[in-house]
Amino acid sequence: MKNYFLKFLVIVLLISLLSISLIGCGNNQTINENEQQTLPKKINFGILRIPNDETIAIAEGYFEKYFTEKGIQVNTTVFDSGAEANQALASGSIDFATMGNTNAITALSRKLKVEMVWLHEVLGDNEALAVKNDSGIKKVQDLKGMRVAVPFASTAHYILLNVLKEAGIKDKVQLLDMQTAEIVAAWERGDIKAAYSWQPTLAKLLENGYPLITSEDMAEKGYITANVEVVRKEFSNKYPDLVANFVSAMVEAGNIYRNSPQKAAEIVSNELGIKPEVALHQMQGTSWKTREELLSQEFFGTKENPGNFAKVMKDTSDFLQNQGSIEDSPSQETFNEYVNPEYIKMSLENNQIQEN
Amino acid sequence: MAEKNLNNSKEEKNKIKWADNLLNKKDTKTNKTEKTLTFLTWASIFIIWYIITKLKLFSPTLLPSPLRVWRSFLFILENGYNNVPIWIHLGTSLKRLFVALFFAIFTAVPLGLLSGYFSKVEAVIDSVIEFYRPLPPLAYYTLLVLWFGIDDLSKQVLLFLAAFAPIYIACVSAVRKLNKDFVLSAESLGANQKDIFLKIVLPASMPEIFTGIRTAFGVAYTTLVSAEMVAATSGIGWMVLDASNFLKSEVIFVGIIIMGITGVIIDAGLRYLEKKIIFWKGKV
Repeated sequence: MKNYFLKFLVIVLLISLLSISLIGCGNNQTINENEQQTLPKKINFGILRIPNDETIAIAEGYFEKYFTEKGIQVNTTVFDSGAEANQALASGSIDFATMGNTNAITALSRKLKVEMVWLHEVLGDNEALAVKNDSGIKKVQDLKGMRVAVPFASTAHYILLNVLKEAGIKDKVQLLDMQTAEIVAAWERGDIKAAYSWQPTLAKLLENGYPLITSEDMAEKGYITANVEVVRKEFSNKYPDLVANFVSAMVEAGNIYRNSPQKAAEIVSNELGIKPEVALHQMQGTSWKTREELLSQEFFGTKENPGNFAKVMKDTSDFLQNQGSIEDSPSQETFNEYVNPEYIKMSLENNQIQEN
Repeated sequence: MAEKNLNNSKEEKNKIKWADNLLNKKDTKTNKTEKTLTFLTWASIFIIWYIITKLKLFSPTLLPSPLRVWRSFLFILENGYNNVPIWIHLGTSLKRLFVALFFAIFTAVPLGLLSGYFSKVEAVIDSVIEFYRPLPPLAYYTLLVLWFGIDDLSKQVLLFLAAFAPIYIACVSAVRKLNKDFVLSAESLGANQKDIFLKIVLPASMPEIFTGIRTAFGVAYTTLVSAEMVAATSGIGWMVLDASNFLKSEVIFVGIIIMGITGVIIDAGLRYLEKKIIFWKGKV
């Protein structure tokens, strides 16, 4: 018995030691947070390989201009979708992440300490429900009893669910959870006749298919989706200027597109390995906003008077909650705070980029 | 074996009995301490888990509390996941697993025994298996999807490949370890090749084959989540993957715990079968 008691004692001791050391870790972190350092050693960006302003900014070396020249190392990681980016954000492996607004909602609902600082593009024709030429599908109702592939948890997934809901066949279609590359593979093999995906994958599907309905059509009905940038609050609180710099880099990249779509298309085509005319077509499928547009009531609004995008986020969030995808839908006030216009305002106030 | 029993004199039998008793006695004694230790290990894991979450060192998204996981488990038990009941998720996964295991056993055992027995067969098969065995399944999974489609077939083929190698290797080594004297004695007594294979090689290899099957089950089980990464909407592995898309860490915990427990139960089942089929193991 004595022996057991001794063992038990040792184990209890070990447990308490471990917990204490863990608490120690926690404390150390808070001390580090409190130290106001001038600049971080490096910034980790989570990006998507899509034709957007961030891709142009990277290709044109704007990150170097705004960050590397200040002695900050820039690290970019490509994710297939925002869902993966969220996992990296949760673990603290990345500071900035590009994702669909649905993923940004997941992040907030799961209480990740992040905020939304930029809107890359409002999604339109670049996300669509593609059906195969020989499928004989003429309208959404024809999808009854069929299999439709879509990357789960994405903006495309959200729109597709609404498409099916509006057509009244939500329970009569089998959805398959696939990544974009797998969708192309399954499409080529003939395993699936319909898929909701985004560019540049969508272009490959449309080579022998046609769009049945696009996110543009659904946006007109009020189902707005967008790719947004979220940043860890720990980072943005510490380095608000760098977040504003990020916004400026996006604006500069966006200006290239606004001034000369052709030039922007060439840059993107080099970066993503697609033809310039394809890149141009894909970019025209989305709508890029200037800082002034984003600060209007239609999107971010102001701190005192939050814009419409926070409402869009809340509506989408409620839908996702009904769907069972997220457990709780944050309140409208939480979303108003989440969609933060301050960094765009800062960027507008303190730099000299001309907007056309 | 019959011959051996005849040779044993009464004295020897008694000796064996005595030795057996000694071993058993020691077994039960160590069993008790070991069981306590195992229990304490798990108790401390739960206590540490509880303390860490109680102190709120990490957000619930990074590490949900035991209570939260338990609630989520009850919720899934009641409502299913993604409108599919939990036993259907588990059933789909187990079906994929056992179909794969079934085919793996019925191909790997004969091939492995033949390879061990005839060096020419080994020359044909062995290098191929040695080549693909250490490959990570995700490296070639896309190819399997391209070849076998997005339905259950590609998933079963992946699990089959994972399960095949351990069984095959166990069979080869079992034949190698076979006491050559048995075969030579049988030959000199006039047994033909078929008899030698069925009556000596196969029974003598059974214990190792079973170990191979248990390893194969383990390897296939670990591949399950990767197998359900593509185009699945059911399966316990898919549930974990979908939950990770929405950062539902408590569901991930539930999935992992369910997988862990089913794994242990199935392994116990296999061990029970082993005891029943190879009743002589450890006694000869």
